[in-house]
Amino acid sequence: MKSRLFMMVLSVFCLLLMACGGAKQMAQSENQTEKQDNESPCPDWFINVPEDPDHLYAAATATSKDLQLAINKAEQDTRVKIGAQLETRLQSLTKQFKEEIGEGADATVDAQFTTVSKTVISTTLSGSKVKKQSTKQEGQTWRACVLMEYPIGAANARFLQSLKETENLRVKAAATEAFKELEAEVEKYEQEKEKTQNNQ
Amino acid sequence: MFIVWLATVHPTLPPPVRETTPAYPRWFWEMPSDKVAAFAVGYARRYARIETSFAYVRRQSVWQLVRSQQVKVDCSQELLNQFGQNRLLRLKESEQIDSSLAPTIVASMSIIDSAVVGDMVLALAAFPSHSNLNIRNERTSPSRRPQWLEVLPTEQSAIYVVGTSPLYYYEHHSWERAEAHARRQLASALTTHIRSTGEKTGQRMQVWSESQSSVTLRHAIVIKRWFDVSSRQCYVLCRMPIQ
Repeated sequence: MKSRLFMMVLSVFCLLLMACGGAKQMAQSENQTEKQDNESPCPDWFINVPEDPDHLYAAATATSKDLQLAINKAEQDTRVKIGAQLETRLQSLTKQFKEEIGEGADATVDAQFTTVSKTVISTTLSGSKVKKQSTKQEGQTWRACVLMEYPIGAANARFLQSLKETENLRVKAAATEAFKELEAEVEKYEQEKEKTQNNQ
Repeated sequence: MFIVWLATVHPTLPPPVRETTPAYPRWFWEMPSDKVAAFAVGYARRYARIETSFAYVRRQSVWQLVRSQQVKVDCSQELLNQFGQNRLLRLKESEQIDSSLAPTIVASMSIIDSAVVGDMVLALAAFPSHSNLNIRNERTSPSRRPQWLEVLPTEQSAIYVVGTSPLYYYEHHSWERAEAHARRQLASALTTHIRSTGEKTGQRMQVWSESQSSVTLRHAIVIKRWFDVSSRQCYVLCRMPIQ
């Protein structure tokens, strides 16, 4: 009888012990999940994207079972973002030109400006470089985080070239302050490029 | 008795023997560089007859040198970003090599070194022929994770990219794929036409985007390689000079 009682007490004790352990384990796993939720899947540069007057930056992340595909997806996303930033920049530049030309801006000039900026957007995404990238495995899938850099100087140079090549715009735009500023910026970019090439 | 053995002897037994990573020639991880000559590594599988392997790897080396001189890369990729997830709709990649360069390369190339690594045969080739190169006959396993995987080297007159590939059954396929991916990355960096459209329904945003590149690469060479033993991924660092 005594031994049966002892066995019962022992089993209850064991059950209690197991229950406590389980709760602890659950609490631990909950903490881990919370920690994972709080942790960013990408490094700091993904949140704090650098700012530089001479470059455009964009960061993106993507996942895939294939590492290269994850990188390709993230890179395409960054290029789409840079394209959008470039579009905004060129739109404001075009607006500045239009405002300065003022009354002289007829419908033809307006249409030509639109054509010039659109051409630049579709052709100038050349020279975009991956500045930083990070990859890590999340179970069966790969996550890629990419920081892309794009030099504004090259885009400005192409925009200026397009302006100069369009006869009607060249005469009207050349008289504006925005044109002179753009020319100065491009000249600075060309000089810096030459200087770097000479140093190498 | 079995339970006693499990509880006492079994945990002390050594873990099962794991397949070790073979040692590669040092030039495989870090390619030699020279102002005049271009270097490339030819890959082939190991056939029953070693002569066959070497004949094949020599032929592959020629094509690798042709690629390093000039290759036209065409690639396009369509993505649909829905609810924060990117779905691949279409992916097209192709390469065209100028086979007319092959006779010139065959005439003045040289195989500097060759090695058998696991089931793969490697050959280091130079164009034009290079006889003054000091190759240390040393073999090493992949070192610790290199920095170029995270931060790519910067140079005003050159572009650097990283290409990757998982380890396939035949290892030489993996390195060839990694190099092809690197060339694709180079093409995208040089010129990419991006088209995208966004659609907003309520609070949900859906973006369709397409990137297209069609570029002829010149003097794009692999300068470093690395193999991640834990995730079984091959990495190559590729450099191309730009004007």
